Amino acid sequence: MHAAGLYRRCGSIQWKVESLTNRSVKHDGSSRGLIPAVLLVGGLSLAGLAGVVSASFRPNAVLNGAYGTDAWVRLLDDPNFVDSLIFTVRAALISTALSVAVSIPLAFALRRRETVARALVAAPIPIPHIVTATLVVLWLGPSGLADRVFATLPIVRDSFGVGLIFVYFLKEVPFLTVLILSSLGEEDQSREEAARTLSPSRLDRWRGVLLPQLRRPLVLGSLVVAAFVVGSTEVPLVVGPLTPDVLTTWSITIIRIRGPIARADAAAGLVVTSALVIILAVVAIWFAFRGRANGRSATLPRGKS
Amino acid sequence: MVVLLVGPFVLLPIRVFADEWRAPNIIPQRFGLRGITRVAEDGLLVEAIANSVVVATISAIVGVVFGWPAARSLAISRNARGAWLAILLPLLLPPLVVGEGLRVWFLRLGLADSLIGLVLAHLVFVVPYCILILSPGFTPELVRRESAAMVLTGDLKQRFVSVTLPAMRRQIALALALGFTISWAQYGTSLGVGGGVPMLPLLLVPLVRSDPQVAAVLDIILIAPPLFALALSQTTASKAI
Repeated sequence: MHAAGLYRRCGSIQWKVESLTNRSVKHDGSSRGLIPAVLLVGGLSLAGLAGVVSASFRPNAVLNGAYGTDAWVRLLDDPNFVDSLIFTVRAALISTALSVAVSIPLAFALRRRETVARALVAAPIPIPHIVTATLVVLWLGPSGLADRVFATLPIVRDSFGVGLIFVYFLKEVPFLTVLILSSLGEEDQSREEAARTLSPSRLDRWRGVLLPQLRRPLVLGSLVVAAFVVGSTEVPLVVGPLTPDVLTTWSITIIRIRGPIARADAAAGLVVTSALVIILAVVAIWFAFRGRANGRSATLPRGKS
Repeated sequence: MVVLLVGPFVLLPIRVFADEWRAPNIIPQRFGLRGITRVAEDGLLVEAIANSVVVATISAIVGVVFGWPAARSLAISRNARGAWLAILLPLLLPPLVVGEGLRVWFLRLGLADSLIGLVLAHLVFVVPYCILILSPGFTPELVRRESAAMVLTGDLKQRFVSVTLPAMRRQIALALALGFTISWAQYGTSLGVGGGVPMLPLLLVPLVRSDPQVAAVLDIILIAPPLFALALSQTTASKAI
């Protein structure tokens, strides 16, 4: 039977089957289909995590070497590692906060705009971070175009991490903006209009109607952004400062300086990186489930409803 | 703000053809094809591009094969929040952690510094995205048509070829494109698992400083698949409307 013909006929047959059996056609779907993907993705992820934990306690794992905590002792005694940890957390916090602060007004500005402006803002999302980092070097690095035109100070590889934060800002603002836009649906607009008639105060409308709408996507999006910043490698390698490193590049640097013997220390550093990301993930899951359990409620503040 | 986000990309094609661009000049002194020629003639860069194409292609195909039944189950299941969580959580893991951790096991299995090892490591990030893209394609309408096709033909293969495949072809194309893109740009996993295998993102990082013109050419090569995926998603969205 011709494919298109069968596809069309199925529409009418489906109605006949449902009429004859007097019930909706049930599908043979089950959770069995999830098993291969969950085993593959979950298995490889857990193997990866177990691999770094194992390598941090067993320096010569491949040669069946002895277990020990030497790498962890050295790690906690290393002032460079502590600096890296502080720098990583600071960069994650600042880049996430800046991205959130800009994406909210941007999303509201784009809410009633035509699709071209929205598409332009969304365009950088699929661009790899490494390309954005290269562009920042070309524009804002030493002898970059901004330096030549405006004689600005180069911000690439600065010790505060301005260049690093700027790359994340350029990449994460579009992501968060699209996330906010998708949560501002038609229903929410009509709710906001109803609130406008009840309360003339813009602050009340923001606190009572818009903030409850945006809280969930914003918190989840921010946690995803922060987790990404903590775990990224290529962006700090291109635009990050030489000292302090971020946690991931600290692990690369220590192997480059001390050689393969430092692999256990590097693995311990990566375990700390994973722990930070897992904490963020747990908070995100808790928030997602809590948000679902409570439901989405948008109410005006007391005395205004 | 839109200009700030999109504007920097204008510089990339200019840098590709700027054979000579010394400070403090604002306009390049000489245009040419040095960057493109260097990429075409450098054996290591060509090998890196070829390796990235092979790994990304295999990862995308395997990602769709594994993602297909999972996406179907997730679309049909009414209470799939836990399953979604299990599928999506690995995306938050730092790629370097996955790569370095898998290297420990892959060294024993003889998969470290191999293309198969790279494909396996990339799948951690490719499969969840393939599931995300494929899942909305299994609409209730398609599921009902599939059931009717089973009543009509009783043949799973014919149901797949005649009903499921035509309805899902755009989702499949998009999942393949996105899967390719995710694998194509992997840096951390590639560095961890296959640091010895030349891959496009691994060679790009040192070139950003040492030869910005060649880096710009590699950047253009690196953003071509994501832009294709974006165009494909826009076309799919407009056809769906």
